[in-house]
Amino acid sequence: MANRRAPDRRVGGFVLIEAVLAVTILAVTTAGVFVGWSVTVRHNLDSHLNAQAAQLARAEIERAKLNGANGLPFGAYSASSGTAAWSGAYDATANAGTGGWVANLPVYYDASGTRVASAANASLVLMDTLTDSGVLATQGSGYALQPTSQRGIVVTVTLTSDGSTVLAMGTTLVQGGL
Amino acid sequence: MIALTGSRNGRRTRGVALLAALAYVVVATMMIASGLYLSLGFTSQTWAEARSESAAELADAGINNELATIATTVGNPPFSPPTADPSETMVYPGEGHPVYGRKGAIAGVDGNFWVCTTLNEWWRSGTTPTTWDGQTNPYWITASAYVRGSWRRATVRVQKRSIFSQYAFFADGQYGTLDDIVTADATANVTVAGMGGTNGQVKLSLGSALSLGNILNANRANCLGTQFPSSVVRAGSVLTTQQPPKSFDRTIDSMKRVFGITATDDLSAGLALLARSSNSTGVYTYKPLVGSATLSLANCTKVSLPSSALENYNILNVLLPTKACWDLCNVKPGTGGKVKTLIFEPGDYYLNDINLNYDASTELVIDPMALASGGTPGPVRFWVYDVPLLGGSDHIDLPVVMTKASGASAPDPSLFRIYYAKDGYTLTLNRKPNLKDYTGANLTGDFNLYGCLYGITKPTNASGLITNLLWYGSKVTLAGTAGATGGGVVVNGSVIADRIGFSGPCAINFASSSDASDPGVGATILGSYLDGK
Repeated sequence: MANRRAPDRRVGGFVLIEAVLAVTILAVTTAGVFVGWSVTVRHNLDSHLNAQAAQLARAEIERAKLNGANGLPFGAYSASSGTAAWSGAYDATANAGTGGWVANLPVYYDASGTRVASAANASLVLMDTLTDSGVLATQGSGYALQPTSQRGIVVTVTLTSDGSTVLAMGTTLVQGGL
Repeated sequence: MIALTGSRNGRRTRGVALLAALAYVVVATMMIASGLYLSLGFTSQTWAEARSESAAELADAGINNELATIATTVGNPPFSPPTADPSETMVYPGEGHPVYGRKGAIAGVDGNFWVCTTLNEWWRSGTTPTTWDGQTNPYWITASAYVRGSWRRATVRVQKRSIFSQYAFFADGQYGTLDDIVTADATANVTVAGMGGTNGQVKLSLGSALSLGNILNANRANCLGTQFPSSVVRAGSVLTTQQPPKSFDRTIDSMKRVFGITATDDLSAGLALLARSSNSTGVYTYKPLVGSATLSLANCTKVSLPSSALENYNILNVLLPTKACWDLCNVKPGTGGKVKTLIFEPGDYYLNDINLNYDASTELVIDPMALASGGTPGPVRFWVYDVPLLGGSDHIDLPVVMTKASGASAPDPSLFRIYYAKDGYTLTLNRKPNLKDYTGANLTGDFNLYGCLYGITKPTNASGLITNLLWYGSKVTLAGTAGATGGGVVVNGSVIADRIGFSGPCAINFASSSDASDPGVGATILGSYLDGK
């Protein structure tokens, strides 16, 4: 019996070690799976937000193009630099729902790209910066455009969660241009 | 438990748990790896698309930037040639050379654009780009843009925009605070519809009355004198200022470019134009003894100008009762043999003098419709140039009769140009008082000219000229006469000159007009937008 039991003890010990190892491997692997899964989910979410941000920015620029150089809001002219600047965004709910360019205020969007009223339910914040150069100064602090004037528009989309910039997209508008 | 049932079974089952765990590891790793791979691929694709869209906007920005650059100077615009900077290393996909054009960027946005202006669609077939010559229409502006791995390219077909498409009037000169560039005398009663402006000083005499549209007081960095006050700008219009001057091409330089004259000195260029002019081929009058005054090939015949001086009286011998150029004309039917008509067909005419007194027996007809010759309608252009400037100033006191298209209410201003290149002299459009027609009846109403006048003989902000008052650029004066026997001078088009003067009632009604030979300022997109995604 003693001769027959010795292998059993070895087998039993091995089973225990094997079980411990297996459980450890399973645990580590499962943890890795969760980590990988969470990374994948985060990537997908980021990708989704990136895509939304790009679409929002592109839409904002295309909207600016359709308004044309003369149809965008004018900012504050600096006589010292000969340039003017404006910041804000297009808000579809402005002007009693008819929409318009609103100065100094960002516009908030949720993860699906739908405009929301405030940062509370928002994932993305969109803000435009217009920089005008080669302009004509008018009486007072105003200015006017001419064929050599350039209106640089930069649309910046940031995350509401941490304020980091998702992307900045921009173009330049001129009278009679694209 | 299994191991206790026997050593054979124990050996068989030994390692099953580990194998199962390892299998789980393999499967889980593959699944997660696949998920991560797909996720990263999706993320990468999302970013690539965002960068591609950003690059597309940058490419459009490059084109717009070039449009603004080309618009900075009249006549000989700066533009970006299709050459690669020696330090450039970026290569557009599929091309065997560094990307062509001027490199630019937008502050705050990743990436760059490269823009160039060419005569051919080099990007279509990979041919060598041909640099735009600054004159030929149409031409191409192409911009390539790169944003972190994503390239985009856009191109537009454009054509030169005429200088006469911007201003009702503009006075280019600026020679110091002792020199007035725009003047309105005490009788001036000026109405301008359209934008006007000046680089220089303005003198409005007491008693003058001006009603102007949008005004640009340019060159504030250099012009220390008084420019247009806001009081002369109509309600609803805007007075603007800018520090740099508006820059205009000299008339003679425009002429060189229009005709491809390679001579660098002005005299040679003038003589070259004389040799190419329509003076001996494009001037007509009525045939003798025809019964109708209708302008037609059947009723009209060609004549040749006896000289390059357009005069209706003999200035060398006023005692001779000659009509100068009109001596060669036949009478106009229906005028009792009293009126002779000189008709200018489409073409370019080189004139060293225009001296046209009011004379009811001499009629000047500009015929861009080519009715007299039966030819192809086109612009009539007078190039007034005289070296060594023996002829003095010029004037047109006659009403300028101009043919118009069938059904049109008025002649087309784009079809008549007077390019004035006599430095130090004045071209005056007069409407004098107490005029009578060939029947002896009083003449009433304004003198209307449909077309554009261009007289620039000094470079913008030319200096040191005040020391020699005889040589102070070219001037265009509009001089009407108030009162019952008078009338105004009305230009329907545009007046661009070193200096501009107003006297009596006069008006400029801006009519945007464009002809291929006009000095160019900027470019107009013709509609061919290609996005090389």
